[in-house]
Amino acid sequence: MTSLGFEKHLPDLGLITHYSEFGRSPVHEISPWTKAVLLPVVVFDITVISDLRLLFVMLLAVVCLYLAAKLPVVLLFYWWTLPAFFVISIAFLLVWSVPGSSLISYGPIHLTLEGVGFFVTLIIKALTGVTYSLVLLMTTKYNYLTHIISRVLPYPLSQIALLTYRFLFLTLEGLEATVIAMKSRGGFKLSGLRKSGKFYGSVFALAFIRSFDKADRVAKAMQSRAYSGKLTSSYRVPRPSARGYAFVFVAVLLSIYLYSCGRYL
Amino acid sequence: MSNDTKLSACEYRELEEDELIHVDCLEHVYPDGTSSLHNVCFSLFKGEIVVICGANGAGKSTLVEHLNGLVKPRVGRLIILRQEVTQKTDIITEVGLVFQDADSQVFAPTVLDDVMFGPLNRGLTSEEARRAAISALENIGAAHLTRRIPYYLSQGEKRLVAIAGVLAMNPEVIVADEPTSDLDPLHSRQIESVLVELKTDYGISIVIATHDMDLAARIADRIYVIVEGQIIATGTPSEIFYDKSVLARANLNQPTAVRMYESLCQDQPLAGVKPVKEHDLMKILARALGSVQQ
Repeated sequence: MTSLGFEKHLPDLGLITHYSEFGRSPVHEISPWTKAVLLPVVVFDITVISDLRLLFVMLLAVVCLYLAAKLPVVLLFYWWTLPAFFVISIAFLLVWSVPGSSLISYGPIHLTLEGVGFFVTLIIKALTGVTYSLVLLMTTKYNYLTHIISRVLPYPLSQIALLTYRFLFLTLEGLEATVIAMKSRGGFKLSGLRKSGKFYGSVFALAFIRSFDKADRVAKAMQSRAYSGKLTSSYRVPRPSARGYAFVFVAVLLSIYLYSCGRYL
Repeated sequence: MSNDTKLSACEYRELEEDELIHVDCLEHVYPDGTSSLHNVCFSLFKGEIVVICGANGAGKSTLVEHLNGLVKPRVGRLIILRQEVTQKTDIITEVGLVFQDADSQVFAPTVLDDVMFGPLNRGLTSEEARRAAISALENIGAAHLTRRIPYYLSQGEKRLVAIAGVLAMNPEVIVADEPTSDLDPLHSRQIESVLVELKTDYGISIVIATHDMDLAARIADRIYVIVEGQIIATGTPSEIFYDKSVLARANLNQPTAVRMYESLCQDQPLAGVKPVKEHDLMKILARALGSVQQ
């Protein structure tokens, strides 16, 4: 799969797989368990922390981890645009109702300094979560993830999670194909927010419907190769090192401290 | 050759000793009420390549999906490897199914993982599954793909990986749906030779659904012609391909060799000779040219 123009904004399934399977870096060497346990810790932190400086430090730390994993930096900025777009579309509606010292005022509409802070906070939170998820996905073999998810979640949920993970990739693949097909016929030359919004909406809907069909075919192919509802992992997942345990322990303690001390909430 | 007049009165037949797949009076109706298979009778014997020929939408893929129990018969009888398939029967994994859309079949992160998927599901240990996968890839000349990522493979390579994926499960029968569609001539020939080798070297019986008449002419031992869900004719390649009325009903062309032979020898057909493969035609032409020169 190749990425062209707009499609660069969509995570490239092949590239993610390539880095996760064949990437070599210190982050790849970290135990998958350590990286997987840190995901809920990161999610917890970005949920409870609202201090902009702390959040910025977290984003910086996660980006450093991304760099240490020798992952493609330029693509990260492209991949940030979709989640940022999603958050902006929601935050843009909420930002006008945040009380505080007014920056711009037009009739009943007020934009406050706190509102701007809230807007930036939401974006940083989203980007931190997305970046860490990418680090996890691009430095951990799929089979390791399969094993971890099947150990952590109960049987039906683990299978749903794993198949959803593949289904997301199928949807992205379908989305990319649809975008290329439409682009080849001048589909992205529409001007105006309303027109282009409608257009993108139809692209996403089409890709989603098509991916259902494809998922059905994948399921049939899996069944014909003796898949009985349980993905079998063939890998032994490396256990965390002493440093890994220590790192997770410190990260959890820090999160609990930040949560319990209250001033960052 | 049996034709539709012989097959129209559908009765259950005796299962023969070396019959691997036996289908009697199979019916299939889509949820919207459209009939996709009607009174289909089909047999596959040990060590043969059977080709199901039909135009798009003729019912080939639906029939193929029945042949390992992926779709179960509601009407009719389906016996696979001497086991009757009912609504409660599991999928018969000794029949490997190679789908038309290789993209859907090859889904794991690496080629090795994908080929190991079937053996692991059959309960092999990871080391046994790895050995089976590597052996399958080597057997079809795709060992160089082992560490590749499926998303970056060409259609031909994906098709090879899909075949390796079923071969690793050590099947007695392989069913391939349009195995050479969308492929360039080079990859098409490669897939074709792999399928022939699976028969000759490993004794695997093969069913192929296709509308590629040249492919059918080159590799088929027997042919079924399917039109609107009904088998209208069955016979050897020369019986089928020299019957223009059957091919016309099925909207299929004669293979190149047959067309050329009929064009060249329409005035003086050679007695007892009905070539269907290009190289058979070449031999005949070479002999004819030799006798002219003498």
